[in-house]
Amino acid sequence: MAKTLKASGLVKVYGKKEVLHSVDVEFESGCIYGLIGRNGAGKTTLLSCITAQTWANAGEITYGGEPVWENEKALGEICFAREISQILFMGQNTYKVRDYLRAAKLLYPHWDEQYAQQLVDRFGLERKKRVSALSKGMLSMLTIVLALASNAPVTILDEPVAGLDVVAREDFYKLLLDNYAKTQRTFIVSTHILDEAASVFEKVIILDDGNVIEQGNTDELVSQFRYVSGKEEQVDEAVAGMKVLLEEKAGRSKAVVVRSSEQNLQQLEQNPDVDISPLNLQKVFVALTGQKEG
Amino acid sequence: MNARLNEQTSIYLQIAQMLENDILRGIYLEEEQVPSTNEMAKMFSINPATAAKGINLLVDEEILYKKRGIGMFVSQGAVEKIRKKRKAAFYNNYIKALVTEAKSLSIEQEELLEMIRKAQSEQQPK
Amino acid sequence: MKLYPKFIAWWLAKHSVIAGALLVFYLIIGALTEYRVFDLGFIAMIFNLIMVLLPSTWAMTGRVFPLSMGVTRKQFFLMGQLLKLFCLIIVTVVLLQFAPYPPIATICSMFAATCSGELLGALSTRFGKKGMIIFTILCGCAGGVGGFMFSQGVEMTVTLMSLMTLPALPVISVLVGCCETAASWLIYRKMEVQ
Repeated sequence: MAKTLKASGLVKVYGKKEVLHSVDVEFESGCIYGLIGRNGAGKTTLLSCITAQTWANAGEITYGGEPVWENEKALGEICFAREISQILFMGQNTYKVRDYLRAAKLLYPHWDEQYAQQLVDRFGLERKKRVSALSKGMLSMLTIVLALASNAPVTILDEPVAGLDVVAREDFYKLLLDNYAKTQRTFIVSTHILDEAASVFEKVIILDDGNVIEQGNTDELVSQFRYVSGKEEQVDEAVAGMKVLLEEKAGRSKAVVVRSSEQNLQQLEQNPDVDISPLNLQKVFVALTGQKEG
Repeated sequence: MNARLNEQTSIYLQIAQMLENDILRGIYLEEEQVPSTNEMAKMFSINPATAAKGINLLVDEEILYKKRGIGMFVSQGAVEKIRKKRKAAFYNNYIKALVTEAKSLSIEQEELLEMIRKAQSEQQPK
Repeated sequence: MKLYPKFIAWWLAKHSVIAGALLVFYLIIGALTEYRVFDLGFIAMIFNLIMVLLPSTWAMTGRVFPLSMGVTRKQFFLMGQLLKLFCLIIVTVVLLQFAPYPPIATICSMFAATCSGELLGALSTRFGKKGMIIFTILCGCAGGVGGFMFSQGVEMTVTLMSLMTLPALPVISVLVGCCETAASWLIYRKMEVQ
């Protein structure tokens, strides 16, 4: 019963600006996906569209082959835990933590109340507190509780770690992995903070300015890159013919980030004249999306 | 098994290497059970798929085998297999780097060999 | 199609507290000013206020939960209708206690009122505060124009005169209510969630 959540040719325009340019993404069942992109890349918009919370200007979005738009059955299996707004139409959001929990209990078909209460206690969330009075960190934690306890076969978290410090972030990923080990459900986590995330995401989708620039297995992607440094001429010789993404020069030394096939990289590593080291997901992300700053 | 993961090699390779190290050190004896995919994932806070990839690598190399419904076990002769494998890789992983470094420090062959002899004799009484 | 009656009941209960407080407030004011508090017209007026506010609040803030938790817009719209129906029934039951005869015209006008409230709420999501203000002014004008014409005894055609008579008014109220509901649906159909 493995259902894929898929978008093809997705276009979204806000006012006069096209925010998503013909995006093709596919989320297979049972994987933990990382949707990474800079602020403003369009992550939330993409997630909104694929969960039918916003309509797309063009393209098809399907879950298990059926369109998601106004599809009661499909939407019952997808949970989109987005940032909870502290301001509602006429001022402060006066709903309380327990209101969100209650609503979730009444609306999510697979809701696990016990687990939810456990998490609330673990995070130290005050049930009676108004959402508008919560700190950023607590707000993130509420979102996390809603997502994890929803038990939805496809659970999407939009920047869940935005308000969390590093200790809380690591805790979150532990919880996520624990739950994943038990339920094997599909998780899609959007974030731009990558330190702890890289070892958690089996697959990764990189969104840059409304375009999907990479999509695939995290490990396989990261292993295509190397950091090469040494004397300028030797570096240039060593990386001839490879795709160079970043360059740093200082005096006679030069350092570059290259991307190439496994064969070429293995050969490169045999080269005694230059120093080679691998990149991590964060550095790959910066190399792929940070260039515009010159 | 508490070694921290580094960013120098793919995580699944590190998992495989750590298991191999432990087998060599006798932490897991032949025919003994090793931690499951989920246990390894939990220990290192990594995706179970990654842990599985590392374990499967060792299964492919016949260092581990799977007992249906129970878990992963160290194969007969695993220690020997690991030693053989590492010996073959020794040249690429250690010797080449050693020679390169020696070259950049202008250490001649005779001096290098002398250093090796010295290090070996230092390790003798064990 | 699931319409989550328990959710509606919970939401209603949460907001009934405020509605009840409003009611008590007006009753006190009425008692203090020695107005005939248990006059049908007075009670209907208060109820009308609540009937407008509840559906509009439902659209403005109540939608936060269902729409972001996997409920379709169609379901949400129908849940809104259930809410209106539920309120209408309660209010009718209460009114029947005070009326010597079934106050059909009153109930129909309350139906129009709830639909107006729903449309008000829907407009606010799409057009923000400006939309709400414009709509409120329009409603005020509609009522004001009619009342003004009537009070001035302006020459009216036979058709207009017949519109003002008792049997026609409830029908118009219901029609207006239905139109407003249809308009609300047009807005809900493509609502963006936050």
